[in-house]
Amino acid sequence: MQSTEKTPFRQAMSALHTWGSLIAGWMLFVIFVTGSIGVFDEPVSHWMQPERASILSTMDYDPDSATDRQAAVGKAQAYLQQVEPNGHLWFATLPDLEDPAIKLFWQDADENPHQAKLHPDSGEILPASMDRGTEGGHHFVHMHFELHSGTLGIWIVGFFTLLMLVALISGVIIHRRIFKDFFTFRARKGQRSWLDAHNASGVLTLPFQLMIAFTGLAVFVSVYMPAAIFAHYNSPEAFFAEVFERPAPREMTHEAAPVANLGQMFAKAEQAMGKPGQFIRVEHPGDSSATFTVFGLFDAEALQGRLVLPSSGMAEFDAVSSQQRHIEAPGAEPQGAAFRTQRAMRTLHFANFGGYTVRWLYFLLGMTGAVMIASGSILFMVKRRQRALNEFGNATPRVYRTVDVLNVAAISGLLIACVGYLWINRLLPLEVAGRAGRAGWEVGLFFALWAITLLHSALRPVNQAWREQLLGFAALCLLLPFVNAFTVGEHLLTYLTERNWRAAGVELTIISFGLLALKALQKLRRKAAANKSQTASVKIEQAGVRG
Amino acid sequence: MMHYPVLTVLFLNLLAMTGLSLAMPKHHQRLLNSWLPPLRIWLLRLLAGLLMLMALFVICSSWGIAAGIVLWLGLLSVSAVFSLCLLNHQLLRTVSLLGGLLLVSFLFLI
Repeated sequence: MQSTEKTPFRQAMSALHTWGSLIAGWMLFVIFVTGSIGVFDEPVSHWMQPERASILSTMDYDPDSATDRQAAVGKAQAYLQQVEPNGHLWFATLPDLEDPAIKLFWQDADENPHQAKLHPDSGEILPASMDRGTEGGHHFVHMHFELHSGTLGIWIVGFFTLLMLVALISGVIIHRRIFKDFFTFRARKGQRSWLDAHNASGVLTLPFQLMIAFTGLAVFVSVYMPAAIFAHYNSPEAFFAEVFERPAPREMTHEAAPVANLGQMFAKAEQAMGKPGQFIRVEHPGDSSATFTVFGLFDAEALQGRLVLPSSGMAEFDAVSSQQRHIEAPGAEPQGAAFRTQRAMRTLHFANFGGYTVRWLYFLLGMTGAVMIASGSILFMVKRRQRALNEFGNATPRVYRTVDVLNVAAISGLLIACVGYLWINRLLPLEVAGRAGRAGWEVGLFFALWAITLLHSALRPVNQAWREQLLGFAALCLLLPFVNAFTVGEHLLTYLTERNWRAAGVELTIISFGLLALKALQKLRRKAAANKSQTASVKIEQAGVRG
Repeated sequence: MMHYPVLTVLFLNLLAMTGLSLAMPKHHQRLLNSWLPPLRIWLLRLLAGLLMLMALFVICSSWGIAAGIVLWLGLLSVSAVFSLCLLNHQLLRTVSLLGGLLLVSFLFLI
């Protein structure tokens, strides 16, 4: 018979799992939920930009026409030449049938970022009535990998991802009945049910959780382990130029020189690559060292099932003399075993090797990972609410209260903020003043809403806080279609009749989450009622004994 | 020709996971209310293993070995979670049975 006593090693692993996961759980829940939504960043952006349809239905621009693409490059150059002739960088994305605007991004001489969108026909800045300023689904992707905090955010996410790997491995070590309890879930058993939910969601999806955490670290290997690059190269750019077998970046000469006709160079690039271009980049415009790069169209469907993605094609020119510097044929495979492995891990993490099939799979498994994290965090307090372990002496009740408050705010609070972000998208006026622009306001209000849920959970008793926030989340999900219909006149029926599957998918998924929240709320209410009647019967019994 | 046989693989994996769960005495007893002889345990495990291998073959032959294995493992996890739900929800079992019967009837119509 197997001993139920824990060995010192298992005890140590158990403590590591409990406390490590408690600290990391709140942040990991954020990373998992936003990452899972992030796999659908493009459909979410599509839902959040209803005005795009009006440009698409009226524009003359044809993405399949080489002349139109060349003209669009000319329009991008004309605008950038006017606003930032001597910037650090110009970057532009050409219009397509999903996003019909010419999207510009540039850095001024001090490398401060700026962006704008131009109409594909007129080359004028898009008015607010045609372009709802929003980060769209990219907001969730940015939350997922850098918490909107740049390199610092990447490091924070990396640290917690490392803790996730530790928690997964220590969890496997301390779980003595992995195979015996493989399909076990005992409902309505209090602490036991939470433990079963935590174990089942973790064990049944373990390969995915291990893969996603490890590949997440591998994606940013050059950020997390930069020593080798700095020891051998002058800059990270020089390292990447060598790895990608592309020309090394040029140093600025500080000699003024005008940028030549980009449209003509773009046409040459398309001819050399043998396919349409999608992105253009000019480094150091206005300087004699300026280079112009064209990147070929990324065709996701053609690359289905490939983990090591080949090049989409690239051509580089001297932006002043129009001389071709480098050409990378489309389909060129990355070289070197280590680099190919890193690229495969990147594709695995980004879920871009199998269209919506793989995206849905990642969404479901990512959400199951979020369930594993949330159930673990809740289990910590369920266990201690039944019998306090007094780990912190007199401060224990305060610590437990803090854990409860953070659990509510990190789990149901984040869910409210995520669906609230879509409400903000519809309710915020199209024209908003301020340096951050409308997109910045949307993200700012997302954080403000999340902060309110933290305040709410700090002010209310824990059970009521859970119930009220779940009710709020369910209401926000189930009422979103009405807000959509009242503000922009779109709803499920129009989406379905117009075969707008992406927008319909977004709304149906949100409605499903609303219904799930109602189900959870119903269970919480039943439990609260059962506890109440149990307390009442105990009081009656006690009164009877006294009487 | 099956280009993207994801649903086929999902159903094969689901059958395999259901077989594996029924090969465990406590689940077998609770669901079917009958004793599970050792021979049936091994037969169910063997059948589940064969179904999983079949699913792996089907997905790798259309998605390639690397992406095929990744998808197979992912679909296996989803199937395992669904089997767990089936074991614990009478309503879900009934709905799944009806859905399965409907699917089979459609197949006969085709």
